[in-house]
Amino acid sequence: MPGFLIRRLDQLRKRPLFWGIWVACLIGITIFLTLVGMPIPYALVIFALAIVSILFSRAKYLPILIIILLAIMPWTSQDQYWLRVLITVGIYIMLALGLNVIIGFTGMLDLGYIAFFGIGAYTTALLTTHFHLSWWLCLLASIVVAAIFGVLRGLPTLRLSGDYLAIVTLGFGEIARMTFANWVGLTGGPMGIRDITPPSVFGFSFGFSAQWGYRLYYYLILVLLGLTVLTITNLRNSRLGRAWVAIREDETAAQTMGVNLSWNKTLAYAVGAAYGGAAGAFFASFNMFVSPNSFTFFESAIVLCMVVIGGIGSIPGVIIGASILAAFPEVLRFMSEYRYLIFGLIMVIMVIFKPRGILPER
Amino acid sequence: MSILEVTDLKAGYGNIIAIDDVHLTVDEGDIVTVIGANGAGKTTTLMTICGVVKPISGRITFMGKDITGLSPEKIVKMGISQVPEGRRIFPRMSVYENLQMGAFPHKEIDNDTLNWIFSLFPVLKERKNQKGGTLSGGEQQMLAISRALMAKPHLLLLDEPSLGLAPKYVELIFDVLKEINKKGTTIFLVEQNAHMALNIADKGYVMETGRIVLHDTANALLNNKMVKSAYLGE
Repeated sequence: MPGFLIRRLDQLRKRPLFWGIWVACLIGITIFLTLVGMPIPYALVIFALAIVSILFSRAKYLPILIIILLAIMPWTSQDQYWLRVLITVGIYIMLALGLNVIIGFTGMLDLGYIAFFGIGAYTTALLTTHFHLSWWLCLLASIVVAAIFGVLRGLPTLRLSGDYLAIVTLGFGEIARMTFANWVGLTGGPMGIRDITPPSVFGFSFGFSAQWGYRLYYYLILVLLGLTVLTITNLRNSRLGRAWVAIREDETAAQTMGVNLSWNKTLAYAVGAAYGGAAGAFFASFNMFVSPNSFTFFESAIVLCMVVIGGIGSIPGVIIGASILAAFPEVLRFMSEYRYLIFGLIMVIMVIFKPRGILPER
Repeated sequence: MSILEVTDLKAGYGNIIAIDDVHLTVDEGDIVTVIGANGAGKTTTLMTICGVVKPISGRITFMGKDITGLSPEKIVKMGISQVPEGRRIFPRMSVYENLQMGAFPHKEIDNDTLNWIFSLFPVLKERKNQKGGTLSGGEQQMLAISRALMAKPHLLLLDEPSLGLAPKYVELIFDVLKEINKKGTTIFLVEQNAHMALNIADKGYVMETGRIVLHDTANALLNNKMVKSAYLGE
């Protein structure tokens, strides 16, 4: 048995009560997930993911184990409804990771992040319906267009911080939504854009089919998420990522180290927005329909909550936070409107007992 | 040869003028200190030299080049780095990441400089992967100095390195400053602890209410009647 696993089991033995409660919670959650209708195999895979993550948290091959579990997941059941839920969770994880670059790394509050998601989604929707471009090109275009808007929003707000920045970003989010809703000639207004073609490779479509169900979309978002996690982790440990964190920690000190504030903040906006744009491109083709209703302030607020609850700045934390909050409305569907009451309650409890998030930055 | 020359410098915040008519000369290889009470304008002088505070009028030249009004990131690239008041290390970055931030103008960390710093402050090597915020006050000051040295500066500016430290650490820090200076780095030191500062300095300036009121060699200032009664408590 490898050394780290022995040490890990030793740790578990030393605090049996703590880990006992953890495992009991996980078993409870798994049973609960099956009770609300999730197919038992899916729930078991999620339980396995949690246990593997705890046991092998120090192991270099943990990502491989997670990828294997996630890859076999859609084949364990024929259920397509919950597969759609999982794909939606994937979209939110991508959004939360992108927003984390702006809020978590660079420390700039952003209440209108969903605008970049919308810009990406509309870019893909327009390019596929009008010009019948391949989705892969649309993905690239969505990333670039969203990044450009990130820069455009960043430049006038460079001197702002805190409350003032929050208000401007909030306004930007609303401007974007209003534009989607009112520029009828381009965006179709409140009717949205329909019949967006799914991605395809050599004529083989990723869309829903009897044989594959939504599995190809699932693998597509899995690959996109893998790339997102890989690039964002590398960015965080690069010179640029350090400059961002230094800006968050102490702007003046960062400046006296030679960090150009304007340049690095603008880059953070552009990079954060780019991930939003990519998520938008996926969303448009997955949903096959975009309308302004998907890009409300409420969505911005939810993505912000995912980052805060997971742990600002922490990549695994943000993934966990986004998974929990994104699955939440589906899991609690039986409670209809009351679910947001529970949602609010959990937020309050979290802020009191774990103000730095479920899995804080290191 | 003078490395830094400040002529008729005036600076402040908004409508408030914090320093006026400041003249300073720092010779290459020297330790020059500015002493004075709280609010005398020492920090403003230092912040104006490194570009954080923009001067209203006056001129700052560094190694023959005019650096008046340049941005801080340009000034650090020219070879002036700063140990700010209150240390201001990055608390949620590791010790090593803090040092990497110090080396930011050079893109890559320089191993010779790193080894030299670890020999000056062995404790930083031990705590390499610890978060900056978990260090003690004295260790944080060591980190702040090391971080500034990572930029391989010609001129090192220090603002109150003794502030809030145990006497044991103050002595250690000042010993290291002497050693850094011996290695060829010119030092510009702003201090309230006049005794310690004048003991290691070659030259000293005394500031009061935003102006330089006295300047002389450090030895002469140590024996100056006014300095003795006002700043050395003798």
